Amino acid sequence: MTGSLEAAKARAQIETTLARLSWKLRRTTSPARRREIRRDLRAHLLTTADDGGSAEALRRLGDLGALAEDYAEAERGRPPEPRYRTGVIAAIVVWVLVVLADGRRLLDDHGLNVAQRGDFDPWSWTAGTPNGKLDLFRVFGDVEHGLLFEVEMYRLGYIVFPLLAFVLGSRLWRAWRPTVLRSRLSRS
Amino acid sequence: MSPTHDSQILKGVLGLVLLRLIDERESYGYELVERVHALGLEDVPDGSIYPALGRLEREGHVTSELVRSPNGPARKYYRLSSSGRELLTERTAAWTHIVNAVTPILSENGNQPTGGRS
Repeated sequence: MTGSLEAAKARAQIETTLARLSWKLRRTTSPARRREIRRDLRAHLLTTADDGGSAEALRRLGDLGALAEDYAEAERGRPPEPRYRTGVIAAIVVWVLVVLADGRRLLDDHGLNVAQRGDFDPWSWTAGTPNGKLDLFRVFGDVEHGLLFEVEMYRLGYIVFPLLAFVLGSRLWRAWRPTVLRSRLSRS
Repeated sequence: MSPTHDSQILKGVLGLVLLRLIDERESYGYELVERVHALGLEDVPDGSIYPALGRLEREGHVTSELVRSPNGPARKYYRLSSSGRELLTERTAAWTHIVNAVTPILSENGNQPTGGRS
């Protein structure tokens, strides 16, 4: 019981130190790289703590400010890499929004003054490929029947919009920068 | 008593030491720290090894691979790339040149400070 309490305390000390270092690096280092740094140092500290305890492991790590400076200096010039995790989250969020938007009456107002609607009712607009063969989505309305705006999503929309969100969210184009490609090739 | 090392000198030479150690054999971070300390550089903080490794990796001089460990967290093994080998050769030559140039000056007075003008 005491042993597990000690271990939990040691782990908490290590995690606090890693969080403090990560905070110091927030302006100079990307979140992905900070995660990698925390993983490397966590492995090191846990191994060192096994030999001499967490206090000794943290002492041997050195001054956190100096360490953050070393990292910041070493990171300078590192080209930003794609953020795949953010891309996946963006794609999921957009997919959910697409599901929610599909077939939903977004602006449905039965009390609308239909006398002022003009000659364009009912109206619709479809977005798709330039050749007109594939449709992404359609927006339409029929004010006379109390429908101001409705979205209909086509199958292609379910693929294209999340894909677009992934590309934008992950900054996928960074993967094709010569510097990133070179470093990736040298790693493999 | 081992002498205290100047942190700026150590910082400059740490990359070269790491390249040499990795060239001898693939190693993971903790092992490299132990090997650096075993060279007599005990006052090199453990933490300073990792940014140096990160820089070498970013510049493509070393590559790394995460390997599961049976006892403890996964280990990141570092291996020298061909450009790392070239850099090691260049830096070794440069270091040797500096040492050869500086050592005679330092040893002229028996390695003791002169104490200024008399």
